[in-house]
Amino acid sequence: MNISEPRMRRRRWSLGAVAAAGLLVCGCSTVGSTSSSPTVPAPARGSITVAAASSLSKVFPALARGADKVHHGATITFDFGSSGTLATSISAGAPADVFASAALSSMAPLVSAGLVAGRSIPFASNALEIITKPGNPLGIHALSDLVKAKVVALCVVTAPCGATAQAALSKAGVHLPEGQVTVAPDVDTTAAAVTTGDADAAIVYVTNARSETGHAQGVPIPKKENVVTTYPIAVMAASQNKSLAKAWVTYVQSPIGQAALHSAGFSPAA
Amino acid sequence: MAGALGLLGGLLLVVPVVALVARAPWGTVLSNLGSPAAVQALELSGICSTATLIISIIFGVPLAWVLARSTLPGMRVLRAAATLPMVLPPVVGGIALLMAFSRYGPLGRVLFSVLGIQLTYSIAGVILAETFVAMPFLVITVEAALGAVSPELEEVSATLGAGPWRTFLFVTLPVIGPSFAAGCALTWARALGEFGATITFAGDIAGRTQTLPLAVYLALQRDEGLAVSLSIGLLAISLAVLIGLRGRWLGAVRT
Repeated sequence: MNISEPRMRRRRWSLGAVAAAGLLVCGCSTVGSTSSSPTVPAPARGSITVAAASSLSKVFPALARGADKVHHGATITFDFGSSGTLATSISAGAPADVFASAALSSMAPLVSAGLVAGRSIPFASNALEIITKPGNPLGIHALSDLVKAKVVALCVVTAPCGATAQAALSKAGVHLPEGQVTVAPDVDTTAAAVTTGDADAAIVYVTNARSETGHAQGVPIPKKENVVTTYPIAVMAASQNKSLAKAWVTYVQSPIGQAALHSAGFSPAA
Repeated sequence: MAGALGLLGGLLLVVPVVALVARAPWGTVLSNLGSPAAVQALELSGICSTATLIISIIFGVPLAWVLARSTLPGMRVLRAAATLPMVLPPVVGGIALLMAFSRYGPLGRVLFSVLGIQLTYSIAGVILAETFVAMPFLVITVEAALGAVSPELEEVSATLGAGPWRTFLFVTLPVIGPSFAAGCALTWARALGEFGATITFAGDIAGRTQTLPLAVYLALQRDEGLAVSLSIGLLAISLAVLIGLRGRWLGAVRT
């Protein structure tokens, strides 16, 4: 039997390597005359692994490049995937210094198992959006229109985007027949079903719709049908470099971090 | 020294399977395998693998014949091209299939606009993906077997008045029979176990494209007991195939 399984994506960013893009991030948040490094503590060293939800796969590395200005030589390795799967692997012993989840429900089992150092802190929230092929050829304008699509891509229910998508569909009273729904393990793969594959529509996060503007058309979901998910972040008790881990958590909550999240389409923590 | 290394190598291959069997939730394995989702995946897998085998025989055996008997130039290139899907990482195979057969690919576009057929996210797409990765097994096995058949047998048959089809069916096929059967078993098993190309090209739609390996992968995300039970089911099928082959595949390769 030959079963090859897609791996969670890993990206390694050496903070000492890239500097230019950092200007972009820092530039959009020069709020008034606060000091030059107001939000990050004394330079931290070493390396950490940040396990984070797929939806953070663009904004977190961009933030890491910006942090290079202060933390020269520190290395942050990102481990992106579905929050449910990440939580399960951390419980099973996968090394992570920080965990940023797309839902409180994925962080909760780690907190009750005593794997979190201190508290988990909400740092952002995300809502759902429908994406379709560019130009929206099927004329999908609401969740109820999804029945028109031949194939709709949704996240698996163990991923926060899947659970919230099911909740939104229930709220809107829409039932998609089984034969119409293709299930993907995380939100990026779900979005890819529309942008590179033949799926007609998908329910993903607002942030995915924002980042795929060339390759997909976003269709907003009205508030009364939408479901918001809160993102918590926490330092893991087993971390070998808690000072750098804490620095990252602080940085994400700082004005720079929050501005980067905002321009990616995230909302403040609910 | 060689004995010790060999033993370690053997352990590496055996221990994971033993662990799978030992840690399976045997109390619930049968009920899990009988659950609607599992039965649906099993039926779909059975249908798709069998269809893949039939298509592989229809197109693969002639291809093997051409590779084994033809004297035209370019056979080496053709053989390499026919073997490539076998060594290509399955997910890469899936991407390649997408490039050709999605609604925006050169072939998929024609199929969709002229015949209204969309292969992605369909049972036909699953069969296409499985054929892409599994047919080479049949081609290689049959070609090797044909190469071992003495051409004189076929010449004598032709001298006695049999046409090429009769010769193939009543002279050649019986001679390569065991290898052909082994090739079929391998092709069927390979198709059954295909994951990367299937999920990339045909997606994961319950009842339509969610074959058994995809069901295992999905179950792993939420119900480890179910995932292990389904794995035991697949393991049982694989063992059955191996026992059925009874070393004949190795025999065919050695010939």
